[in-house]
Formats: sequence, structure tokens, C-alpha cells
Amino acid sequence: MTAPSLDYFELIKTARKIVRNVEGYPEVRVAILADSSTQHLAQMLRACLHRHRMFAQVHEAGFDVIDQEVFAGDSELYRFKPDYVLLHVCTQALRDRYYREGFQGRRLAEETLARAVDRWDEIGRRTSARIIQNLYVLPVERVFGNFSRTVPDSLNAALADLNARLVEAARRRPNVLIHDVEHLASDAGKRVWSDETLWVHAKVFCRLEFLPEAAESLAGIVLAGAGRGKKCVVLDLDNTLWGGVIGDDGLSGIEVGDHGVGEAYARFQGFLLALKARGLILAVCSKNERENALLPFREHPRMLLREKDISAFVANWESKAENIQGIARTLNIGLDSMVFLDDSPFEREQVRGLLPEVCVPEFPEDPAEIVPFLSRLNIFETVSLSAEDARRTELYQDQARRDQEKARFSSVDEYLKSLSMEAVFARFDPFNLPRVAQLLLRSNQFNLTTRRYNEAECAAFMDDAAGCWPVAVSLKDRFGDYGLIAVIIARLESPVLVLDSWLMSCRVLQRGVEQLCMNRVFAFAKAGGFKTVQGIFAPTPKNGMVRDFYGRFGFRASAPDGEGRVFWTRSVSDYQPSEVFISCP
Amino acid sequence: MPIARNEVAQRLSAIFREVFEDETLQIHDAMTAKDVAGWDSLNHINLIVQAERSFKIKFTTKEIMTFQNVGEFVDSIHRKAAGNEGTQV
Repeated sequence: MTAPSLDYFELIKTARKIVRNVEGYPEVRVAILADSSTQHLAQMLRACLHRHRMFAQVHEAGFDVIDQEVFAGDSELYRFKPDYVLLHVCTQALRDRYYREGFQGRRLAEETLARAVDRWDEIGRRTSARIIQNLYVLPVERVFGNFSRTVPDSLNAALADLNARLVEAARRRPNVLIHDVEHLASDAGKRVWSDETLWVHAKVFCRLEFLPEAAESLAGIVLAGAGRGKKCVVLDLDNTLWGGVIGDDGLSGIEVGDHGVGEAYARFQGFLLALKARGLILAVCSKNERENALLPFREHPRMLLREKDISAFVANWESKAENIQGIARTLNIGLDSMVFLDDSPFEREQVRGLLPEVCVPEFPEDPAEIVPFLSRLNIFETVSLSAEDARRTELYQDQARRDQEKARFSSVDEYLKSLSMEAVFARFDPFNLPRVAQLLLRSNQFNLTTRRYNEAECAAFMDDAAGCWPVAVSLKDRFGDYGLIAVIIARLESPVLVLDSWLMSCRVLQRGVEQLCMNRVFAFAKAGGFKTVQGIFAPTPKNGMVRDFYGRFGFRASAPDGEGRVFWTRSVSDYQPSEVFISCP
Repeated sequence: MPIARNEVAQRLSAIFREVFEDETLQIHDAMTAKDVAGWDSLNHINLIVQAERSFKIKFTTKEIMTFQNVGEFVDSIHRKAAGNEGTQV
């Protein structure tokens, strides 16, 4: 995947051609509520999501009817059943109020914030949709010149304050995501971003040529929300991570550090470390002798990246496409969650050709341009942050040590016993909810039904003691803590216990966790007087590994329904618990 | 050489064909929105912005609000583009 420059008129043509979902892409329903005209933006959004292989159903509420749609007893918004509600508010509309109502910036900010929060809460009460809230573009008019920001009632100061408070309020609400339009406008440059003529006669919030960028930015949020965010950055070394060729120039000859070109490479490494701290995995894929390739990571005094920061290190003379596939297998992640960065156009083209799922951006010739270039591609969107993100590299390194240990044992059982594994089953609670929602979003392979419940929906399961048994499973062993690794959502439909969702992190496969969970499910079913347990398998392109999961536990399959779903059932009375080597307090 | 009015009309015709995706569309001076299938508010803006881009001109709000037919649209571009010699699509 590359990033072709997006032209408004080209995208309009694309949007016209997308009438029905002929490709069978995953569908997403987006409602746009706005105080400006949205038909151009809606077309762009449909076209952009289609480029990313998603089919968008868009509901446009019409001009300036946000509150009618949100607060009316029975409005089209709720009948539409949106997955996303975009609150597409703009500075121009607010500015008109400011001038009409006596320049009381503080009051305007206060009221606008309160109104926004009321809207979020009402939408949150009535749907489980994610809400996308625009920030306001800081206006160019400055009645007090530079002193404007010092005057609390100036439009400038009021909107800056409003933006900060919207973000603060959104932090406390996992269903509210911020769309940073102020960033887009500043980055494009406010002299060109908006067109006041276009606002006056057409009420479009920015110049048409920037609508593709705004739509791409929104599409990024929607894609991350659909679990399509990136998980891993695969890096070339020579002339990508440092200047020069380690095999030819040697440790003292390569450029990385605090002056000249080396400074630019050091900044790039700093950016990569920040991505790693955020939870992305870093991997190396280089055509080099392994010892040469490792040398700078171990011994160069100015390298920011060290060996411990790299979760998979591949340096050999094989094709990069094959090596990237190997890295995907080692880390147990999909090719479509990987970004490959390489200064060589030859390598980029080859990987694009052989592995079209991998995101392969261009690479700037001038290393000083790398960080802004990558930032603007907007490939690192996310919709949440969990404590486990920050520990991810550590988790993969624990795994490497386990693999070494495993080689020393003669039988798998002996190895499993040696791990001293301990599992904890807990009903969903406010503390595990963010990670539960994230696992629901990100698990693709060991996921029986791939139902992407969000945090609000999980909270509803948590509260439904009479109808639902939602459990989160954590695991640790003597090498480290895996954290929360499995989620099961069972519906109590006596006499049947229905396994609505069952998913597990692939890091803990073949440890007996699935057997332990199944034992626990049947123990729960028995105690609750259920006669049968029903499991569901809903096929996706990625979850083939669990096609026969229930079969392995003696469930009997139904014939597949129209969507290929198989319903498996098993009686409770004759279930024999499997042997496991995990203690469970 | 200032651009001739009929050249403006020809280039604008091409823009109409592209915006309305109709290879056979020919504009004439008396034509209005009701004569063209798909001339809605969305495409109206697209037309104006595409014409501004192509002829490297900028309409004022007042001009946009007062065009009565395609002929007035052509006249306005012709006047404005007179100062922009040699611009191409």
C-alpha cells in the first residue's frame, strides 16, 4: 500500500461509483451531524474508506440540526443505528454567535462545552456508537493582535480554552474520540485552509482541496476503531536507521548522533522509540551479516535504539518479503498490521508486489524529512491506550526466553509444569474494561465470532448479572506477566449457556489456557443448572485456526447457516475436564 | 493575447462534461441548472471550484450569488481570465 496524493475531484468520481457494497467489504455506519454543509465531506469519507476496503453507509442529518437529531425522542439518527456519530462542528458557525452575542468568549466556551458534553451523554445513553468530536480551528481574526490570547473573552483565547476542555472531558469518556481539525488546519496553513467565499455561499468549512485530508484523517480513526491499526514497524538498517553502510563504513563510519546528517537519523530513532513506548513492536529486516547488523545496537554510543528495543531481528541475504512473512509468524501478527520502512525503492517495490497487505510508504531522500513525512501519513492511529501497550516489547522478549527454556525439556507437559502458570478469572469490572475492549478489537485469529463490542457495550455486559457471564482471564508464569489474555462472553439463556464471544491472545496458545477456560465454562454451566452449552463459529478470512475449536471438545456441529456460521452444542452432564498445568486461585 | 470568449466557453464545456460525467454535454449561454441532470448544490460548488482552479481565477461571493445562466458564468470568467494570459487547464 502506498499513499497516492488524494485529489478532491478524482475522489468525487470514485465516490459516485460506490453505490452498493459489491466487493463485500466490512460495513461501517457513520452519522454526520454538523453546523456546516456536509455533502462534500460525506462523499470524500465514502471514497476514502473504500480505498481502505471498507464500505461506509453515511447518514447526513442536514444543515445545523445537531440538537434536534440528538435530543428528539425519535430521530433519524437513532433509527440509522450508527457505529460512529461525527459531531462535525466548525469555528465559522461559532464565530457568528460570538459576534452576535456581545463578544463574551468565556460564556461561549462554557456553553459550547456543556452542550457538547450533553450531546455525548445523550448519544451514549441511547446508542453504543463511538462519537467523533471535532476540535475548533483557532481563528485568524485577532481583535487585540498578539494580546488576544491574553484576553480571556477574545474569540481566540476562548476557542483555545474550549479545545483544551473538550479534550479533557473526552479523556474521561472512552466512547468519545477527538478529531483534531485544528492540527489539520495548522499543518496545511491557515492562509490556504479555509475559503471565506466558499463559507459564505456554500457553508463548507474548509477549501475543497483539503477535504480529502480531513476525510482521510476521519477514516484513520474509523479504521483503528475497526481493529485495523498498525502493530509493528519493520525497519531496514543501512541508510534507513543510520547514514552509511555498516558492513563497508564500520562502526565509526556510520552517521547517527548529535550533529550533521546523524542528527536527523537520531531524531528518527527517537520517534521510533516513542512509537515503541506507545505499544508498537519494532522489528529489523536487513540484508547484512547478523553480527555486523547488531554492532551499532550494541556498541555505537550515539544510537538511541538498542537490541532490547527490537522484538524480532532478522539480518541475512534472503528476500525481504520472505523475511517479513517470517517476522509476522514469529510475532503472531497479520501482515496487514505491519509497516515496512526501507530507503531502497527496489526493496519497497518487491515487498509491495509480493505482500500487498503490508503498508509500504515511500521513504524521503533527506533523512531530516523522515519524521514529518511518516507523521503525515497518519498510519499510527489508535482509539485507546492501555497499560499493556507500553509493555508489549517486554512481553515479546519474555516469549523469546520461554522458547529457549522449552528446548531443554523432553516433553511438553514437563515444560508446562515448569512454567508455574497461574490464571485468574474475573468478571468484567471497571478496571479491566479498557483492556477487554482492546482485546475484542484487536484479536483476529483466535476469535470465534469476531464481534467487536466496544467499551460501552462491555460495560452493559458487566452490569447484566442476570443475563450475562462476561469473563476476563489473566495469566502469568515465572518468566513474566502476560496480563489479560482471554475474554469469554456467555449469555444465560437457560437451559442453554450460549458462548457469544470467545477470543484469546495468540501469545498463550498451547499452554492449556483454552482447556482451562473450557473446564471453567462447564463448571459454571453445571453450577447454574444449564443442560447444554452452545458455541458459535463465525468464519472470517483470519480465524481459520479455530474452525474446529468446539469440535475438539466434543461439541456437535449444526449445518452452516447463510453466513457460514456453525452452531455447536454439547451436553453439560458428561463433560470430562481436561488436564491442565495452570493453577487457578 | 487575451483569451477569446469562445475559448473560455469551450474549456468550460469540458469542465461541465467532467463534473457531470456526460461526454455529450454542450453548454450554451441560456443554459441554467434545470437544463442539466445532476446540477445540484454539490455539483454547483464543484463547477465553481473547478473553473477557479482551471482558469486560475477567484470569484467573489457576489458574483457566485448572481450568475443567472451559463452565459453570465462564461462572461465573468472571460473578464477575469483576461488578466491571466497563457493559463492552461
